[in-house]
Amino acid sequence: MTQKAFAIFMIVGIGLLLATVVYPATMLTAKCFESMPEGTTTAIDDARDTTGGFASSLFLRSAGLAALGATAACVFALPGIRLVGGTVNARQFGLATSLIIAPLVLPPIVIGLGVRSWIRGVSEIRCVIVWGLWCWPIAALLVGGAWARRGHQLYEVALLHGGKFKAFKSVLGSVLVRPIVGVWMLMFALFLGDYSVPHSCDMIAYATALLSEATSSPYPVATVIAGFPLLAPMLVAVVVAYLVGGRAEASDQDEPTKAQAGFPRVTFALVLAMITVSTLLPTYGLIRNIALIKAIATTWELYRSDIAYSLATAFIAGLMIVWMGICVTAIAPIRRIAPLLVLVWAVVPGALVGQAVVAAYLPFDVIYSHWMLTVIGYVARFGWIGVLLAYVVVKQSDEATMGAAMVDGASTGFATCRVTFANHWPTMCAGVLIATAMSLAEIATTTLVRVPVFSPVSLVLIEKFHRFEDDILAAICILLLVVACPGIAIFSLASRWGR
Amino acid sequence: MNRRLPEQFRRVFQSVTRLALILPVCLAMIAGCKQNGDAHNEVVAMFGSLGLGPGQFSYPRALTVDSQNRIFVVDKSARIQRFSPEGTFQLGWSMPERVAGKPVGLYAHTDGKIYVPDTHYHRVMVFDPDGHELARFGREGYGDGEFQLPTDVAIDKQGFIYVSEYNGNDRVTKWSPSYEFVSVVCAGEIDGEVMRRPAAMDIDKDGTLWVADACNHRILHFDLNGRFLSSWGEMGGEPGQLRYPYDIDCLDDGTILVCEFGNHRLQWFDREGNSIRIWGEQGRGKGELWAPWGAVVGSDGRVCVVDSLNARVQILEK
Repeated sequence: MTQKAFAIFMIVGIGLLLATVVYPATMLTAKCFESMPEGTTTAIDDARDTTGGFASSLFLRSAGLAALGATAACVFALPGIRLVGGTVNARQFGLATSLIIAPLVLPPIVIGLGVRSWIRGVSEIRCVIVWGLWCWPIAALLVGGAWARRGHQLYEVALLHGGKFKAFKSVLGSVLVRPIVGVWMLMFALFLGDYSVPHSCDMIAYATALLSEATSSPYPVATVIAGFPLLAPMLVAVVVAYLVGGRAEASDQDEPTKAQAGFPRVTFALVLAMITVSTLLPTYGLIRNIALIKAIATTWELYRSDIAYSLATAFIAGLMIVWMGICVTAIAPIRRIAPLLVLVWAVVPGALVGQAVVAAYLPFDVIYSHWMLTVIGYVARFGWIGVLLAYVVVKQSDEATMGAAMVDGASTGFATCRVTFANHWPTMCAGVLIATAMSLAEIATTTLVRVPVFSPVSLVLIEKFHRFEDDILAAICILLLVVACPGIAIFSLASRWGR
Repeated sequence: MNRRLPEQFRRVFQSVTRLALILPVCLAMIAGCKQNGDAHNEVVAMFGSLGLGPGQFSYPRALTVDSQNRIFVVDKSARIQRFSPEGTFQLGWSMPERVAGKPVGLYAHTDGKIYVPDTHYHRVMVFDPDGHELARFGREGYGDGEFQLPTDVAIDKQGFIYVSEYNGNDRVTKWSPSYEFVSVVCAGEIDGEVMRRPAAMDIDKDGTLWVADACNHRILHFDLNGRFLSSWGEMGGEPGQLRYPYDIDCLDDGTILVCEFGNHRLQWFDREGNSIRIWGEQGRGKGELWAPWGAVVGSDGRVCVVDSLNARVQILEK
């Protein structure tokens, strides 16, 4: 890559950031200063008139369920924490990551619909279980990683002075509490703003009401006002998670000691069981009572144009997401705040993201009615994946090679792109595919940025859910799963190769 | 570990990336290929916009026209709004309960009553044209006198009421003018396929019942005792084919108007299922439709179609 090509690369990448994030966010903020005509009814007002206090009770219920979901995820993560915590080096950590990452990348609505096929009724319990099954890998990786980095060393030292329980208790307080709190807060924020899992569990959550507001009002300010009770605690939670997690990481700078080599068999079996329950069992539940081949054929016949468009727009968005992430992270000042940026970005509800994109591009019909609007929506929603991936790759960069490149006259950004990312192209590739899969399954944002040209498969899925067309619903879920698999596979391989 | 494997992956990735960069050009060309039509010239009126205020809609899903050609529209905020024949807002009212869900059907009888299948409350509600509740009947269940997600209402010349429903209870039931259950008209397997989501019905001038079997992409024809007469339609987008027919209206000249949610169009058929005319294409502009849920022909011959995702109603000339 020449300097000129690098410059073009960076300009396009930063342009993507401006077009998909900065401009929509600016326009949404500007719209908030436009007052609504007097007497305008909003969806939240309408709900309040109906059931008196609907919005506040719905918020409290959603927050309570999110808290339970975060707790469930931490509990489900125990075998994974043990597994990850027992890793001795980066390669083993990569192996453990590659094993447990699958539930995280699978569309949560697929897990939700799969669990629904096994358990009917008790919507709230199902919702908590599905959230737990979806996000336990986060707790496993972060808490287990903290144990692997420092906890094990302290535990062995503490064993010299007392029994196992006392030793564990001392390590828990000094090493694990912060990551646990941080992870819990992060998942609480994630679940509070989630739309798809409550929907798949036949439930109305506050995120549902927020999307209803966004789809029924021509005034973005109404959506922002409705979204504020949701966004405020979510931002507080992620800031706390970042502060707590940041301090935990800062204190884990020592090299890990030699822990036991290989994964303990019982732990490994438990982790496999968790992965089976999180992924294979829901999948089997979806397909066990239907003629799958016929359902796939019918779905293809009915929706092949929509499927093609959906895959194409999601893939283009995936490319843009990683491109943008590389360029953003190549800028040193942004790279320093990347973790916080990722956390805040990831938890913004899809309805607000979609509303921002609509507010930005509604005046431009050439974009507003074009499939590019959907791509922009996907990039705005999942751009944080690109930034996160690029940040992780940069952290693993070979400093010697980077230093040599800079001595030869390369700028930091050029060296970062040319040296670091080029050597981690499998991870970048996996990032494109993971972002594609997540875009394809996104519902809230897509509802707002859909265009007449095609029906995104995630919305077709919701339509089939409401029409009780279980055969097509299962076929689309399989499609979403199949699209997610290459990303998981390549990420796993990349983790094992250390690239 | 085979060290050549990463290199092979890199070549594949580069090829895929090049292909992906060509894709937008191809897609843009496909998206730009639109048939130019003169559908917009046939639209005589268009009203509604997104919102929850008077004259605004939030995903309207059904409409009906009364004997004075006043237009009633129900949307996803569970409001029923009445408009003049020209589309001027007159009044509106809300369903008494709407947290669980909102109605997907409307029917205006010649006596002025407005029948609303209150879908997620498993009942039918009856209002006068000013929105005052007159009656309600039905309860949740799968048995006689019970409903599972009712979708539409039709009434014959004797005043008997026919109600279609789905959610595992896909059938049409018959009720007396005093709202008492009479019988099941049709259910289960019909002409080789189990009925799936009878989304709409109408009774023609000969007194026979037409049902839009939406998820089977076909139209069913019965007499009022439930005797099967004929069926036609198959899944597709060509003339004569159907994709999720969500509404049906029997015209005085014997033609059948079908509103196709999946094909974003209206299609007229003769009684044998031969396509006579097609109107509409997918889009946001005038003369275009986006996931229309309902269409009805008024006594003045004008066609009113609820253009759901565009949050509006379009009125076509005769």
